[in-house]
Amino acid sequence: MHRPQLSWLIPCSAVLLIAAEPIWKDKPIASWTDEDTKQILTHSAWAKTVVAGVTRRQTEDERREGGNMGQLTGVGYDGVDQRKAQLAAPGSLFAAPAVVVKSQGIRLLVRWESALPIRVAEVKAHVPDPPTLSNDGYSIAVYGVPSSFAKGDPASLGKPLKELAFLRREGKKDVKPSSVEVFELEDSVAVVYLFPLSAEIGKKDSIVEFGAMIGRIRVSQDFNIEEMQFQGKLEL
Amino acid sequence: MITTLFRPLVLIAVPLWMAVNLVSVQAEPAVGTLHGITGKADGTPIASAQVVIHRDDDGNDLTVISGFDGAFSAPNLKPGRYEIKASRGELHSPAAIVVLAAQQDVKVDLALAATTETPADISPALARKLEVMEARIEQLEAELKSKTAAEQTPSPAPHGDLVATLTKDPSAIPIVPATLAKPDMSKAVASATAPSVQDAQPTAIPAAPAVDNATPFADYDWTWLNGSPRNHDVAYDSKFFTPEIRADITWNYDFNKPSDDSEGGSSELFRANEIQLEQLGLGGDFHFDNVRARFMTQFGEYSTATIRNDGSYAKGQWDLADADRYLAEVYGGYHVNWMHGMNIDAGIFMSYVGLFSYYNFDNWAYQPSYVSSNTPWFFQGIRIQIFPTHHLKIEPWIINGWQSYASANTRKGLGGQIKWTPFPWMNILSNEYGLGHDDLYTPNRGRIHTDNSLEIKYFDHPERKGLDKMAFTFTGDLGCEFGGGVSCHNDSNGHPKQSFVGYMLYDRYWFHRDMYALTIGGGQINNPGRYLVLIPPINGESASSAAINSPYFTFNPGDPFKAWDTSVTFDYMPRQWLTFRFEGDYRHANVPYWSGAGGITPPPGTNNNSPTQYACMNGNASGATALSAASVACAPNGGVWFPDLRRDEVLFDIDLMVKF
Repeated sequence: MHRPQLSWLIPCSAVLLIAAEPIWKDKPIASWTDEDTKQILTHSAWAKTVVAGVTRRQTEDERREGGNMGQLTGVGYDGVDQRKAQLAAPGSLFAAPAVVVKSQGIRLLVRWESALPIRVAEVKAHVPDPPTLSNDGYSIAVYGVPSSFAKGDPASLGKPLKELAFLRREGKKDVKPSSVEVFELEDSVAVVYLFPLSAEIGKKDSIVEFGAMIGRIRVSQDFNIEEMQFQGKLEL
Repeated sequence: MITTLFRPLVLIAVPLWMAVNLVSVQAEPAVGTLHGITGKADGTPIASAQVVIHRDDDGNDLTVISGFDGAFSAPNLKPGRYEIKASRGELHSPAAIVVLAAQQDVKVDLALAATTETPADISPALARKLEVMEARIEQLEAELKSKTAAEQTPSPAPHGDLVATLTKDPSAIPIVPATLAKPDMSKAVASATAPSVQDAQPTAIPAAPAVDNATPFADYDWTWLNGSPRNHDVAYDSKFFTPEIRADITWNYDFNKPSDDSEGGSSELFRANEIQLEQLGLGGDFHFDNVRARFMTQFGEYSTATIRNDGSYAKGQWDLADADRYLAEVYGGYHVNWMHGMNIDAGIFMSYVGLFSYYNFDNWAYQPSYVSSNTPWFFQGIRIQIFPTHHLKIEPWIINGWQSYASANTRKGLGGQIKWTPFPWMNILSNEYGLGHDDLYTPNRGRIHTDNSLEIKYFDHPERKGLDKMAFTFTGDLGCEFGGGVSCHNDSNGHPKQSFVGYMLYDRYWFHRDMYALTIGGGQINNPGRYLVLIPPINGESASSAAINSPYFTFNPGDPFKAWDTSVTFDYMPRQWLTFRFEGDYRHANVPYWSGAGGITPPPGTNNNSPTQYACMNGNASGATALSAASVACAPNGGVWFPDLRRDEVLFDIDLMVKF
């Protein structure tokens, strides 16, 4: 007996899914729903969820071998993994040591704050006082960095991070941020990078990689410039 | 005949091997995934919560940190029973128990709550903050409604003009609630679910192992290196002080059975058939505002055995040997944020000439070969560490001399170390020394030395319970002395050759996730003139007394000394802070050197405090440094006493070492 072949449905479904236009392409702002707003703020061409890697914690001996002393603290160091050694259960002296994986990574949100659709969505979602820098530029925020015990004004907390971030495009020199600020949120920290407009990012750049080292957290996220168009115009 | 026997084996083995491989290739990965959200009881996600996933079957722990939206995910988990808990500051979740099957994706939402009651009232500061936020929202809403649409520009518009571009009909904009959809967090929920469209998380590329390419030698795990402690955690540290505690207790059996329990020719093993404290080290690192200091004590055998190898303190006053004998390392300095870091330190600091660490816990073997045991463990002076890249250290030294607290003569020593880690599995270390005049009472005799080591990890499977790691080290040394009646190469003036050529090779195998290790190694030296031969402690002989006269084991220019050794070491390391070591050593010299059954202490078994003179059979000093004169002087006392020195030594030692 001949059985109907349904395998063709899989590629067709995929094509249909791909063909679905993102809501920010044509949907009027007035028609945005809560879900639409949420999607723009968290999963859109301007907002990407990234699982950032965490570098391994050095022991004091390793720190000293590298010319340093003491564990580093502050933004990107506090709360990224278990700081103290875990005690093994007694009576297991001959069992193979347990594999203790300190951290598999941290889910962060990287958002192009200066882009118009993000700012619109923030207003619609009543995001209170978004941590944006006062100066103009390409503003990219990293949300979800674990809270730090470090205290200070946003600019001084962000200063050490300035040299450790970049926007990278193929065939062009890396763009360094002109300023970095760190904002304490309710239960995490947001790091906001301001890149100069002189970088002149355009459609020809195709892909822009945002990379940053925040303490022991290494963030890297590509943004597709072609997709970052809001109602027909490039929005950064 | 062989072919006849071999063929059936091949016919059976090859298809079996192929079948096994086929099965292993086709087998689905037997792993599952746990994911969920950390949040408050009202559903508000809590970011950056620490989620500890404990597997009951093997006790393995995995820690993940929840993301900005409270979401966490732990893929590739073995099937089994898991206990999952989350915490963040004072907030803790109850444990959720999940039985995970292969190919299963289980959602576990964890509700965190304070363990103690918190005041329900909002603090004035928080209330004020909320008011400000509310005002800001109202302001933005007002702007949103009052502005008209405008042209969009590729570059970011000034924030004040934001809402001007929103819509042509602002009144049509629905005002959405401030909080977006929340999961039900009223209780910890564990349910097996197939990933649904709603549940599906956006594509987030899994975190690649992040590598620190800025901090020197932080990019990879270097705890496997010979001469480095293997600890992976810090037991305790604070912003100002990181303590360090070391305890090293040893027992060794010398098959020569010296009657005075005294051994020579080592800077690690000193007493036979006794349980001895080698070192109790108390100290740590002080660090604040780029200023740094470190100290480590050496109570125990080290406090006397290391000091006696330095003759320099015998020059002049103030008894430096007593001043410094309990200090293994003491220095202070300043860290400069230049390139990848730079330090300027002064004091007593460790030498890694000969690769091995002064602290036995850090080493692959307890008794290293001569290239390490006979070369400096410490320097006193100034050390500058420069890190041009995160893989390279350049460390010049301006020091009093070759393992010395003082300067044996007027000329100071210069030296340095270069450490380079070009690959995660390779460490290259080079130490150089020169300029110093290091022979007490022999001015104008210079010393040069080069020490070069290569360490390679050639097998690394940390997940394996069998053989999980293999590495080897090779160290080669060259050196010589010149001037003061000796030369580097038997010069035309008749000055005998005084040089050092040596090497050592160690190979180590780790088993059972580094719980056990086996090291096999050894080395060889040729040191005419014996200037780097450890002086046998005959009748209390030390470097300072031997500089005057060493009647039994001479150190005259050109005196030959060739030696080799080999060792097998088994380490049992049940905790990262603790090592039980079992080691066998065989050592051979071409001249009588090792303590024999008769011992190296004059009768009745006590030093007579005159090591520069021959001793008589009754234990008294002969008063003579020449044998002929001593024979005459000792005739009424039973003749001249001689130590029992052998060409061979076989040792077995058991050691207990702790390092926090």
